[in-house]
Amino acid sequence: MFARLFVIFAVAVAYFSFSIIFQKRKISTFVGMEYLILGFLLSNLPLGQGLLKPLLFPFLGWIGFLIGLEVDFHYIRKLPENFLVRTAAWTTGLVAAIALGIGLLTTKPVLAVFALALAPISFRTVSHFIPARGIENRTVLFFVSVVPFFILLLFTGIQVITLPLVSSLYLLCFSALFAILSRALLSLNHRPEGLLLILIGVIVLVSETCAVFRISPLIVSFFSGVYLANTCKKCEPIYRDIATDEKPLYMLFLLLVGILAGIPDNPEFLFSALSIVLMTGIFRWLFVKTHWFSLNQHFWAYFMAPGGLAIAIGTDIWMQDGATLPKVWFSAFLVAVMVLQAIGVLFGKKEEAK
Amino acid sequence: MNWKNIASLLLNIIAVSTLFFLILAGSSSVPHNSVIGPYLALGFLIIVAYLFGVLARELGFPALTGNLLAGILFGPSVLGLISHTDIQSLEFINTIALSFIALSAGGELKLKSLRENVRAISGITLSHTLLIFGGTLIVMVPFLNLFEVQGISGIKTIWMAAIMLSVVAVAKSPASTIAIIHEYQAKGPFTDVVLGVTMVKDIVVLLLFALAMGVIRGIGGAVPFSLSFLIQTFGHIFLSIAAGLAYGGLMILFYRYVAREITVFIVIAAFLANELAHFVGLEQMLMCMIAGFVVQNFSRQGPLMIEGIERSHLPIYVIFFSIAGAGLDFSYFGSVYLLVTLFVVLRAILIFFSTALGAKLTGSTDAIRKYAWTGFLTNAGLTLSIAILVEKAFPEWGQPLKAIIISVIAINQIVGPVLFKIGLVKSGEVKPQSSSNG
Repeated sequence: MFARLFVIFAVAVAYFSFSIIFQKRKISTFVGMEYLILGFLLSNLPLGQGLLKPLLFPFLGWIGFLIGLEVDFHYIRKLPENFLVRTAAWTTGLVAAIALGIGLLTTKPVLAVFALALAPISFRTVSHFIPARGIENRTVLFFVSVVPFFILLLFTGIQVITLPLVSSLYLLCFSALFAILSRALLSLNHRPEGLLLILIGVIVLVSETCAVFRISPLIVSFFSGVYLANTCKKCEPIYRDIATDEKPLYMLFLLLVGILAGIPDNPEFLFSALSIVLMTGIFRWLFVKTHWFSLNQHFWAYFMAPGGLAIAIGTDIWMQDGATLPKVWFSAFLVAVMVLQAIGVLFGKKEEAK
Repeated sequence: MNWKNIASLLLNIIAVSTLFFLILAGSSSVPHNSVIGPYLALGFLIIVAYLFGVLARELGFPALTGNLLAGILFGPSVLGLISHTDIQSLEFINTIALSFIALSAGGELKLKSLRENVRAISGITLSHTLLIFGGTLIVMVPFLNLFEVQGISGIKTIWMAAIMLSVVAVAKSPASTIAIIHEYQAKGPFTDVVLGVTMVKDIVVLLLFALAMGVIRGIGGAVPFSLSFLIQTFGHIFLSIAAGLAYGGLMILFYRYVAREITVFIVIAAFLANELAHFVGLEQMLMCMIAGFVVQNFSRQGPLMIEGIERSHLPIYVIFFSIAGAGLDFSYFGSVYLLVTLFVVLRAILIFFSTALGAKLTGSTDAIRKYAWTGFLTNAGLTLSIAILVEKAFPEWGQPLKAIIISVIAINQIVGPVLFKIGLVKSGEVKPQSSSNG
């Protein structure tokens, strides 16, 4: 009881103090990694971790939904085909390279799926440092914003191939079913607060259904979001509503992830984290150097930051198959993402100062 | 009434329910963590309860009634799509929601309007306490004797049960009152008096319950009536009020020096208050009501708190009342329906007359005299707590009494909000075309 009281108090104090500190110092580019650290710190308290785990699913569903809502085919169709092909190739290449690296690092090749989670680029970090002025910069920003779409498509493809046939069918059926259901429910004549409530209900229902059938809530909600973004006229207000509540939800998500993952007390963890940082860092740096997108060489640091999507994909992978993916690797992955994010922001600031 | 909207709402409800039924049927063949079940049920309940709320509004009823009915329909009593275990697991959400509702109830009460209506509030509260308690006691003793409820036999037990039923008759649900006031955005002296009486009665019922427990223990002979028990109860109430004052003070400090993310803050404040009250063993509702009252009346930040509450009250009400509806147990109703019906009718009559008398003696307006009684019919959380505590203390007759009380809550929770909505409309304090739930 005391532990719970302490946690709520600590979270409340942290939430408002981080909010004050980061707003004043404008370093929100850490994309909330501070809450992940807080989660790690609180992970040793007896909080009934087993009971907290199902709470993570709706957060994954919400993130997937939010990303899906951003995918408007109207805009994607306007992008040059060449650009899309190159971005898809770049993303697939980076994922494959990191996967190969992880595969070499460990005796469990199944861990290579974490490569998917290590490939995203934080749009928030990049857009913070790169102004949207000039055609080159805009291309870079477009590129960064399209990468998550391809990563989620890759993730879906890998899931469909690797999952048992029944699970793959569940994944496809539920994606279609919930997309249609969300569309039908949100098309009713709601007031704004009603719209948000229906959305909360849909996301919770979708995510927990995915948890029951052991499929990815991130993917199923992502497709619901994509379907809505392209068929529902109310997509704009919906997006605005969920984006308004983004911060507290995202904070809770990172906090829960931190609490559930914890920091293991063994050398394997440190070794794994360090290896992931080195290998991912090197591949990311190499891929920035490919010049495919006329990436300015000074930009390399910004592209180190994987952002919140990395945590979401990693958590989704871990939640689905926690039994085969050791917890120590998940913790190592989280620490690696934090380090890469810090490298991205701190070096980015240094570059900016020059 | 828009029939196209109604048809479309019904179609959506049927579609979601069918899908949920299929998910449940499919999930039984897949091994999964049992902890997931309640959250799955929560997602479904949010959707259908909200849709039922909108449907209720379309049909001219309060949305709250729709939320409750959705809970009842899909809960264990009727269709059983949501199980008892799910409801028990989700109860924690309701205790937090209750803190939120209590904070908002306190926040809605303004000292200025309290001062203006102090005579009406004290007059109605006093007449309620005396007339409802006394009237119920006088009538229920022969009724309980006549109906011969299993477990409630022998003159001593009948008296003890009648005393407890009299306390229950005085009690009411602040949550339903505040939810209906919010839904219809009611403002004015009528609303203030109903809210004021509700708040004061919460304290009165706690005292009355403590007194009743003392007396019952004396009658039962198990523990002699002791002054220390009463002192302990008064101390408990005093401490809860003091904690509420302190908590309100802390909230003021936040609003004054931080004043950001006010919606998140009010939810965290309710959550923290709930945990704090349980940790120290305080009266959660009372503490939160006082805290809300302090922020509203002893600082300039009251409107900021109300803004935070208004932004987040819809999800909280929908979840709270649908879970409450699903938790209503009608299984005992068949065996005690006559006694329950008589009690409900008797209570309504006593509330009507005592409100009219209290209002008349204090020179209140016609609206208060005629319609304020409609605001005092619902009972929920506090009444249920009384039933649970009595069952724990006196299992032999407490158990059948709890069954009666639960059935009473079920009826009053359905009828009460509808009547209160009519009362509010008749009083002329409802904002035209107001609707926050749907």
